[in-house]
Amino acid sequence: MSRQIIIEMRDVWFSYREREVLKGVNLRLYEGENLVILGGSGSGKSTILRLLLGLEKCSRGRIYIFGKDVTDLNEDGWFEVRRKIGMVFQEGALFDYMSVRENVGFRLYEEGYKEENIDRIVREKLRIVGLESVIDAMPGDLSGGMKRRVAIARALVGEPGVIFYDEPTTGLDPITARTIVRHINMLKEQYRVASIIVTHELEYAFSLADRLMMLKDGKFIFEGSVEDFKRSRDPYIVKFLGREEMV
Amino acid sequence: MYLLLFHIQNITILFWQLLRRTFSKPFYWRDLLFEMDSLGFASLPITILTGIFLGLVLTLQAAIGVHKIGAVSLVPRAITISLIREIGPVVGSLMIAGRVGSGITSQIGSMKVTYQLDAMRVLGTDPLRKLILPKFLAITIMLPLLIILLCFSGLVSAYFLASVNLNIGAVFFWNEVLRGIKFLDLINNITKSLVFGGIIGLFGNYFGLEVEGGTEGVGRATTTSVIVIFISILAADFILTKIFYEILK
Repeated sequence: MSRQIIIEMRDVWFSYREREVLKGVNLRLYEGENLVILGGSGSGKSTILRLLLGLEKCSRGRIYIFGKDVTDLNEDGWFEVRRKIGMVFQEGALFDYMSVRENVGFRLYEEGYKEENIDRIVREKLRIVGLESVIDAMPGDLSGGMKRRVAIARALVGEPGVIFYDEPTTGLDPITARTIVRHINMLKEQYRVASIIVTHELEYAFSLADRLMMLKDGKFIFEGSVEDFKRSRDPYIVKFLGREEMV
Repeated sequence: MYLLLFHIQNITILFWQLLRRTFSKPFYWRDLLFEMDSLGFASLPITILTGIFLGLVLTLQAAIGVHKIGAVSLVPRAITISLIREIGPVVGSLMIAGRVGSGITSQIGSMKVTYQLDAMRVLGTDPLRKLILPKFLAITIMLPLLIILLCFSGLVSAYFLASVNLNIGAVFFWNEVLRGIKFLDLINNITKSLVFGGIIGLFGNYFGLEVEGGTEGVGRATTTSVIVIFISILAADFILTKIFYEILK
């Protein structure tokens, strides 16, 4: 049985200040899979997520989300699409003037949910990431790892079909990073949530990926399984792997 | 020159976007009240202190001028006119711009570089409506009220100094103050404060939204924002004074 495509980019180009960041990118995300996008700094990894969220507009190509062509949507149209997507930004991007409860329940407050329903849903999502106890804390009181777990809880509130993670483990100690990896994998297994994970950290990429794509200079130079990636003879990938091994 | 035109174009677009959102739903009343409190009421100490010292200095300056010609009785009216028409709105706005304008730029700038504004958009909320508009409206509404308070505290401090140093009685002083205040002076005062408040809100937000380059960029934008706000207030003051001068002529 063929798997359903939930996100697709077809020949997408993007330039920023006359620099071509993406040069004809093609990408498919299937339901229930973890797709990891690897690449060095400035390769355009995060730009892909920003395009898929409508935070940037591509200069050429088409983008489809849940079967709908979203390429030319205006901001109001994007608000509807984004309801089906969760996003975990680098370092969490929690609203620093709001408590954890208000951060996780932000969407619910905006949609006018009753206080008791908000409390129930927020606690439920925090329980998934093991942080119910910090519900009344402020983001400034949390560690880096806790902030990212709260951000995951916030992304889960809309019951999304897909979650994007931008460098979810960067800057975390190995134990905390592995906790984040475990949570991402748990969401896929228990809730069938598909994910696109952008990272440059190989160890965690291998633990997360059902499929890997490698981005270099705005183009994908590899797509396949972790095993295929490790066996690749592409000079850049060999160098990428070698550098990591030396570290 | 190209950069200046680019900024003017972007500021005009931002102003238009805010204007459209002011008259459409959803409107965040609670956020507006919160900002009126944090930008407006929290500026009370700086406003009152500025008013007190302005009143004291103006009284001394006026006294030096009129003492030689023996016209001490002109002091209350001279202070009233200068405080309400010019010194109050301009100096008060500059003082408050230092606090509020820089605060808005650094807050919005920090939220931008830490992707909080993007996070808000992803969560289905328009940051212009939820964050920017309440700040812009709050300082535009609160500045005229703060400037009126500043002028009043300036007159009170002027009265105390005039009564001690120049032996001017309370009845005479306040009668002269009331005679010195013309309806057009009040319109002048409120119009200037409204425009200056708008400048602080618009430019403070704009430079916050334009921040690039991490925390260093936030610091740079905050400095630029305060300088541009100061110069814009002085330029707008010249234009408005010219308009009122033509009316009063």
